[in-house]
This record gives sequence, C-alpha cells and structure tokens, in this order.
Amino acid sequence: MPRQKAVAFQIYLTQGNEENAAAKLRELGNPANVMQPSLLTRDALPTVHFARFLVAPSITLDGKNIEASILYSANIDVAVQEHWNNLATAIGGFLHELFLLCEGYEAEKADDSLLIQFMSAHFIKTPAFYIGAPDRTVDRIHMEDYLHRKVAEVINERDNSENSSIAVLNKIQTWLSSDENKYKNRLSEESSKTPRIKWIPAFLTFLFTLVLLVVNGLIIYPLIHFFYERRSKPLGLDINQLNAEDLEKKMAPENIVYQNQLSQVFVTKTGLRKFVLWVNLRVTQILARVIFVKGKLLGTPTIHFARWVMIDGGKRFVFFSNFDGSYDEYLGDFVDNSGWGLNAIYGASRGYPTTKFVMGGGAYKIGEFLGWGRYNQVETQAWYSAYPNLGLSQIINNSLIREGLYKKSLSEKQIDKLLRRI
Amino acid sequence: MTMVSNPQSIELDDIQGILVRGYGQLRYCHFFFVQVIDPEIGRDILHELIPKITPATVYDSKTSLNIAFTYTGLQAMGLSKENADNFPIPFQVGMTDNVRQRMLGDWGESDPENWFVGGKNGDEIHAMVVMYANTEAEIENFREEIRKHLSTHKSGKNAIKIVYEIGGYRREDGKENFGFHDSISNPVIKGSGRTGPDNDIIASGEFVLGYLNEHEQYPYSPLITDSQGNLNLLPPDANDSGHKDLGRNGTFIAFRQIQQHVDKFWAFMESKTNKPNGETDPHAAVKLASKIIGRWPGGAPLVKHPDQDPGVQSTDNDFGYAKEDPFGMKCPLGSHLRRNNPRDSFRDQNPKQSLKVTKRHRLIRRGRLYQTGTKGNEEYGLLFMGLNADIAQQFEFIQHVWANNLQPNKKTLYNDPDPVIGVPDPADPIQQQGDHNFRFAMQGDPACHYIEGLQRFVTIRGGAYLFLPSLSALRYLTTLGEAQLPPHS
Repeated sequence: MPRQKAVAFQIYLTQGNEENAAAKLRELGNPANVMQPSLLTRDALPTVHFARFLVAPSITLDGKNIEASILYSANIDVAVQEHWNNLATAIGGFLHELFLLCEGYEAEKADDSLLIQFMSAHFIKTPAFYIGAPDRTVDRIHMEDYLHRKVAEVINERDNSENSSIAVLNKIQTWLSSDENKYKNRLSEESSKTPRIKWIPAFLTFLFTLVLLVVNGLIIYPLIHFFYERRSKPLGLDINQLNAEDLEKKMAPENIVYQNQLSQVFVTKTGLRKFVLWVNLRVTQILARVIFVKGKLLGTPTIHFARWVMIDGGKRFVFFSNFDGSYDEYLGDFVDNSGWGLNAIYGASRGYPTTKFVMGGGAYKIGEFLGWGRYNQVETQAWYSAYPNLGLSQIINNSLIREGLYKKSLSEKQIDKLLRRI
Repeated sequence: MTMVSNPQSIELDDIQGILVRGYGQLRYCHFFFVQVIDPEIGRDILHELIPKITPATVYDSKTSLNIAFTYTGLQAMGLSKENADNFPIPFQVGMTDNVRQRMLGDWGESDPENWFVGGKNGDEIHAMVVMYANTEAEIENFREEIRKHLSTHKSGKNAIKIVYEIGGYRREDGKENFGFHDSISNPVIKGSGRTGPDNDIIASGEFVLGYLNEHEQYPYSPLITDSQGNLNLLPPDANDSGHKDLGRNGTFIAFRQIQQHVDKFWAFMESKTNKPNGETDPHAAVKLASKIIGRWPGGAPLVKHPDQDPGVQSTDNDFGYAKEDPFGMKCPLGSHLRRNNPRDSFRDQNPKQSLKVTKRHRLIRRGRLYQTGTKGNEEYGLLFMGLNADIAQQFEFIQHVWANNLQPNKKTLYNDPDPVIGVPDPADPIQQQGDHNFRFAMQGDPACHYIEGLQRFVTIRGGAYLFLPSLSALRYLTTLGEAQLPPHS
C-alpha cells in the first residue's frame, strides 16, 4: 500500500489580483459548508483526502515587497503527475480562469496539458509532512467506515442467546461471509495492514534525535536564547486582544462539521533561527515517517494531515492542518501534551511568544500562543475533505477492527479487545 | 481520592457569594433581567444595592443578592467603549453571535431568534439580578424589595426597566426535572476555604479573575486603559501592566434558560426498554436513563453501583474512571456526566495527564428549576448558570467540544452527541450531512449495545454572557460619572 503523498504549488499573482483571486477561489467553496455545493467532490477527485486553495497575502518585509500568491496543497493517493492530470480533468475550466490572474500564464483557453505543465512548474516541496493514518487510501477509509457501521448494526441485532464473545464474533463472521456484504471481495483483497513502528529504525531515530538534542541543548539553543530570543519582538497579544471582527471572520467557516482546517502563514526569522527550523522540520519528517505512524503526533490524536512548507524562497513558511474538533481544542491539546514541540518549530516565526532556550516558554503562555496562532491564520478560501464526518481516531479504530476480523485466529482476550473497539 | 483541607487564600470578602456558594439552604430564587436607561440613575441605584449584595464570606444569610452585567450593560452604566473592549471577545460578542451560536448548537427551536430572554429579537439586557431566599414568602418579599429599589429613584425617573423575570427553586431532594440528583460534582475553588476531594480542588484562576489558573498563569482579565471613575477602588493588574484590573475577584457567567421535555425524555426511555410483549419496564427505563445521565436518580455513581440503584440519596463524588471503569462498562463513555467531566480518564491518556487536561475545562454550575405556563401547558426547565474565568476554554469548550461533538474523547464513539444536552436540532447544519441516526453507545460485555435515534430533550429558551464583578468593581462602576482624579500613589 503506497503511503499518501503531499503535493503543493505556489503561483504568484499579477499585481492587483489578490482580492480577485480570493473571490475566485471562494467560488470553489468550502465543502464543509453544507449550504454551498462545491466543484471539489469525491466523484471528481477520488484519490484526494484533503485539498485546499488559498491566497497567501502580499506583505512588505524589511522594505521589500513579497507579492501575493496562490497556494494549493493536497494529500493524495497517487503520484504527483497523475494528480495534476486528475485536477486538470476535474476542474480544468476553473483553473484556467484562476491562472489568468497569475504571473506567467498565457493560455487562451483551458488546455489540460498547459495547465498540467503550469502546475508542475510551480510545484513546491513539503519538507515536513505528518500523516495521521498512514497507508490508507480514501477508498479504504470509506470501506472500513462502512464495515464498522455494518458490524455495529450486526452486533446490535444480537439476541439474548448470543451472550458470549465467541457467539457475537460468529455472528459478525457470518455476515462478513454473506452475499449482502457488498465490500466482501474488496475488503479481503485489499491490504488491511496498518503501519507498525519498526524498532531498529525507531531506535536509530531516537539515538539521532537524542544526539541532536544534546548538541542543540549545549550549543545551539543557548546561542539562540541569548543572542536571538532576547532581541525578538513577540506579538504579545492575548487571543482576546485581537480585533473581534477579524477573529469572527476567521472563525466563520469553522465548526460546521466535525473536522476543521487551519492555514497559517509566518514570516521566518533569519540566521541561526532559520537554520534550526530547517533542521527541526527534517527531524519532524523523520519522526513522522518512523515513530508517529499510529495516529498521534506528540500525543495529539486528532490530526489527519499536517505539513510545513517554505514559501517565497524561505522568507515565509506555512502550516496547513486538517484536524478534528475546534481550534482551541487542537492547539490546547498540543500545549497540554507537548508545547515544547511547538516551540521547536514555530519559535522560528516572527512574533512568536518568547521562548526559553528554544523549548520552554512560548506556547506555554496559552492565551498569547492562541492569539499568535489566530493572528497568523489566513483565510482558506477553498477546502475539501473526502470524509468530513470521520475522526482520525475513528479511522484508526476502523482499520484495527478490520484487521482483527480478518485475522485467522484470535485468542479469547483478543476477541474481547476487538469487540470493545466496536 | 481523599478529602483535603483547602485553607482560604482568596479575597472572599470582595467576591460575590454566588461564585463560592450554591445557597442550597435558600431554596427559592428569582431573576430580574434589566435595562439601564439612564447611566447616572443606574449608578445611583447600584450604589444603594451594593450593601445588600452578599459577599462570599457570608454563609448563613436569610437572603442573597448578586448582580452581573452584560457587555452592553457595562457601557450603559457609563464604562467607555475602550474599557468595555478590554473584556474577552466571547463576552463582547455575546451568546447570540453567529459563531457562538454555531458552537453552542442553538438551532431551530433553540435559535436565539426564539428566545424569551437575551435573544436576537427581544429586549437587550444589561444586567442580571439574582436573588435567593429560604421560603416562597421570603423570596416574594425580597423580590419586591429589590424591585422597589430598581424602579424607584429620588429623581422620580424610571431608570431601570425589568425586561424579563423568572422564579426558580430547588427541590428538597436536590433533583432536577428529569428526576436526577443535580450539582453533586461542582469543583472546589482552591483557596476558598472549602474542603473537597483532592482531584476536585481546582486552581482559583479557573474561576476567579486575578489568580493563577491551571496553566499557572493569570486568566485574561479586563483592564482599565481609558482612565475613568475612581481608579483607587481597583487593584492593580496581577501581570504588572501598570493598569488597574476591573476583573480581579470577579468572573463570567454563562446563563441559559433550558427547557426540559420531561415527558419526551421518559417516553423515549420507556420505548427503548419495552418488554418483548410490548409492556413497559419501569426499572429498565430508569436504568437506561441513569446510564445516559451517568448517575442513578438518587445520585449514586454508576462506577460504584453499575447494575442497581442502591436506592439512597448520595452526593458521593469520590471516584474516578481510569481504574474502576476504563472501558465504560459501568458508566458509559458517552454519558452526560462522563463526557463533560472525564476526570482521570480523558481519551487514552494516563490519569495524571487526564486530570491535567480536565482541570483546565471545568465549570461551576448553579442550576435552579423553573416551572412556567398554565395548568396542562406547563414548561419545566433549568435556570442554568455556568461560572468560569474563561468562557471560551470552559463553558463553550465543554458544550462544543465535549457535549455537541459526535466523536468526543473516545475512539469508540462515532455518532454520539451528549444524550442530554448535545443532540442536534433538526435545523442544525450537521443534520444535513453525515449519519443522522444519533445514538448512545452502552459499552457492555460481550459487546456494545446501541440506543438508536436519540432525540433532543432540551430547548434553549434564553441566554447571555455576563460579568460578575467583585464588590470593589461594583463600587468602581458607581463612580464612572465622577470627574477623573489622579490615582493615589
């Protein structure tokens, strides 16, 4: 089973088109908003888990202008080139009109090959990418959701005589092998494996991280603490000190379905701070591949996908996340579980609450941290989720149910454990 | 868990009594929701009322009076816009704001457009006056006395308008309208001088502004940045900004008038527990309702009495879930009590981490029953007040993230709203997609049993976010009309 891939592009807008592009992207809609049908649908894009389009606003940075750009990012089951093809086929007409607002696009009419070429040319790398439920395709996630629903129905229909674990399991197995189970063949054919932590790479990663931490802790972080953080200028606003109307606008598209998204654009600090960001993103990427493969990122179990991407040649970086629950819950979770992890990365963004030796302080000032987060949040004009009502924990649980049901033999303890999942 | 002492360290004599005391001995209460028409007269009347307000040090009074203000109410008293805008954003925009409405799930019948008080279409409210007394006669006398104070001013002007009023009471057995013992597990404020189970003593700053909270930080508190009134009455900001703190010793109240559909609630429990021959099974219906609530009607916790009601009145709050019931076999994971206060069993975290998280999202609840309407057409419900220092992280968080959320805290809950206060109204946008068969999962041996087709048993009839000032802040508010004097050094 191939692992999901991250794809992204950044395309600069021609001057004066920032608002036009935002308005155009809003036409795509926020599919979580049930009031507004969208061009981005599962039928049109069956291999996309999540996707978003947004405008990274223009800013003046140290006297120089950074133009506004369109950012696209998606989490996909296919190769990048195939995804460009799919995107051009699904929303080619829309993309053509959108790209007419961008620099360097000169096609007279929508032409798939030109669109694909244009997107490919603006592809940007994703240096750190976290996948909540690795190795599951969109199709598999839906299939396993269906399986869970049906199995729950089956066990709810049991009668009083079916009062042992084995009797209940038999009832489920009977249904699984029956003809009414429309996914029967596909379920048994497609891999049901979920990634495991491989202990040798995990151990090596652990050692590597430990060494890095010691080096950082002894040399780099004290340097940053004494020479950078003391001069840094935190935004210093509690979330309640933000403009109430701006906050309202940012919250308007949230909390419609169970899932939410977050797009933030940060200005990167320079020098050693930027270098540490570069290192820490790579460490995050390794940890995400080797250790955080079972549904939790530093203890937080609600993130479907998250990524950090450098834009504008590294002058700014973005954080995109698709998660369950509310913004307050999401960021609060991180602070409760591992605020130091946030500090290690976001400390490189201008305005971040002052850290202590890189890992301390920062996010632990919760009100200021939430304020900084909202301040740097930008509107996600178009957002798509292939399964907006499914939580990450539930997706993982569904896979484990399926894995259990298709095991050749189960001990009584394992059966009990399996039934408790349903 | 053990009961531990909790010596007094907060300034109880400056705190309005309702924050620390539930006034269990004062069975009757009355609420006035008022508008201040003239700020000067409003301040005069407040000045007269302050001596009658009960500080938290008094625990044996025959009556109790507490006063809280809305965002517009503070401005109606003369607080400048700049100072009012120093209050937290949820308080500024209010409970009826679109974003807040969506988080709280107030749709359809519960839409603020239809509220009796505090809604989008009714009279704006500026303040809430809450009175308590021991008997019906006493509350009547006290209510009329306060009404007289509010409506009579030496100038002869009618300065304060009562736009809504409602009476409430506490049943002798402490039960709410569905028939369950209520308000057992209120947290104890650290430094309040009250003893409690060690896991339930929560940092003062979670409930009282100006003290450290569970993050070991001072909660966001409204400061005076635009000099007005007698600033010498206010303490300095604990964060050393140099400004005066209007918030210290005060807190925020989320008020909700919640209608309870008692007949519908019990009809549902009966319909789901009928015997095979169609007869009702009262014992099974009570057991199901108890599993949904999380305690037996008398208050006995399910963790200690999973199968049968011990039949005694209980205020037992000395239990956790992690050791006693990790899988919800005794107290279901999605029950009203367990999801809104997961205690030591939050997600799959260890007890220590669970408590750390849950302590950051607690609420002091002050509920009183009400009954309105004519015979045969009665409305039963709860006058609910949730007291907290941070509306977003406490009241709203609990309602939105733990009660309304269909997949709260536990990976085995898929489509399970809080069965008592979280089932979406048919007009809720969430109803327009996904699985509409909201259910309640009863974990069991050998497998789960699902109660399908949950219905909404409550309707929100009113609500507001209010600021409950300290006594010194109330005194300060009465001076807003005074010429500015230089502060004492």
